[in-house]
Amino acid sequence: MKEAAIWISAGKRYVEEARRSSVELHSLMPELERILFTPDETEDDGFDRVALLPPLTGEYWYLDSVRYCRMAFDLLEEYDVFLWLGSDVNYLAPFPELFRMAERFDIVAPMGSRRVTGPTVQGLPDCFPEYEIGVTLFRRNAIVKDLLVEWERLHWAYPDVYGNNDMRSFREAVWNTPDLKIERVPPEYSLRWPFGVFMSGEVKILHGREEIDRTFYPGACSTKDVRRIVNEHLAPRIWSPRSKRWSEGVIPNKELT
Amino acid sequence: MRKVVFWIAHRERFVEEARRCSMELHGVMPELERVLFTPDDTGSKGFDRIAKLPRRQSTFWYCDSVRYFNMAFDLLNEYDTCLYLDTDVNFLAPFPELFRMVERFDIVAPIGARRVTGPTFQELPPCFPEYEIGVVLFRRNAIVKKLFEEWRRLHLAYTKIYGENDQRSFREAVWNTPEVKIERIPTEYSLRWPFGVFMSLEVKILHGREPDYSQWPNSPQISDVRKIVNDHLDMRIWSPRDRNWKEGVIPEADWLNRP
Repeated sequence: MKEAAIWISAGKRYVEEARRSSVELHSLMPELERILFTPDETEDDGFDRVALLPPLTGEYWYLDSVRYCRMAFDLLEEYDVFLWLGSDVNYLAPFPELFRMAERFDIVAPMGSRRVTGPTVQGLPDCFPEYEIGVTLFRRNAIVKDLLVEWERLHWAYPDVYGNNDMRSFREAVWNTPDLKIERVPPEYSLRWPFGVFMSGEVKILHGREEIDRTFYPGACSTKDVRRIVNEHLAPRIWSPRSKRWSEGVIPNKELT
Repeated sequence: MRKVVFWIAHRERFVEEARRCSMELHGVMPELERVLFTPDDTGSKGFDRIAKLPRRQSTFWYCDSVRYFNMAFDLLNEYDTCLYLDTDVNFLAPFPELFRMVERFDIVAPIGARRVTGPTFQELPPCFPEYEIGVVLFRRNAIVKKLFEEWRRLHLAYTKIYGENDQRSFREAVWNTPEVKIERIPTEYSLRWPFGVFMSLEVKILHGREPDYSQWPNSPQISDVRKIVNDHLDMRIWSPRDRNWKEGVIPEADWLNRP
């Protein structure tokens, strides 16, 4: 089974962030091919390949990124499975097991931390939450292609409904594609740590940025702190950077487990 | 669409716990039909109906409960959608939206709080966690029937591997039944609060028992959990294992105004 990790980025800040993410991934999983899809001219340093996309056309980034995802799917015809990563992803340990999920499911992605961020065209049940589009594994098959085509159709038909957010339209596209078999990966494979988290077992992938103005929050945590704290022990535990006591580590602490 | 809620319980403690659960559910969703499946003789108070099951065959509860699950599926033939509930479930608000999930999926259940509790017959990826079998909604269709039959087959064939635990065999049955479309419902619909939790929006269903207070005298009661978990509805965490659990969820409601 031929596998690849991909990023879709535009603008220097995000292209460089994707490069950092790719280099970090390579140090843990050197066997994994890494491809950047971008409409920008950039060097291939840090990637195995850069695939040039057509220029941005939409009013919002997500109008283009949804279109770019479908284009990436078409261009990845020599691969069986690909993992789409956000550029703000960090890695704590190798995760080859994630690719095995494609043996049973067409797509796997984490549950949206906020559950539901906003409206859809039709009313969907609140207990059907959004998917975090930051660590998403795709099999390259016909039903996934149908999903991506539906996602692009919805997002371009109803940009005023979805706004600059791709999780809302992805959720609706999944609902509208009933033959798709989709699964949620646990948060340990895409830890949205900026919002606070529950964890059990080893955290392998972090997803989030240090977007904290340190002039106002000089005591805020860094990604380095997060790396140190989240695997302090592996029993069920919680932690939040929004806690007054975040620097004390996970709850309960190791002695209490 | 005809809906039903059911419990499978045996022995007085669990039958009475199911009765309490059913009456509490009736208080928030009086329109739902409620059926208890049990091998015991008991009155129907608190339920719409009692369905008598054959007596137990195994010393392991989960060998019988997996068998009973299949029997319940067959006996519920007048319903389209069935919600199985554990007896240690509490309700904070009505949840009619949960039943809409069968418009898209065959079966829905929460992610296992501990992710993976133990071995399976074949090796499965650890990023494919178990399902909490405490709040499970399913369509009564041929593919779900096939899933439950596979669950029973595996559990009875490999009891020594799975031990006294039905989540391990259920996980493997889902893996072995690729046609089934299954989804995870968010933790707010089955909050496994004893382990600590992340929450966003309104918590509607709690799943868990109070601890043994002789060992954990300072632990919260269910009434504390009910009061705390919806302190505010933004993204938040809380654990009864926190020394400071009485302070409520983290962050506090007005954390952005913190000095």
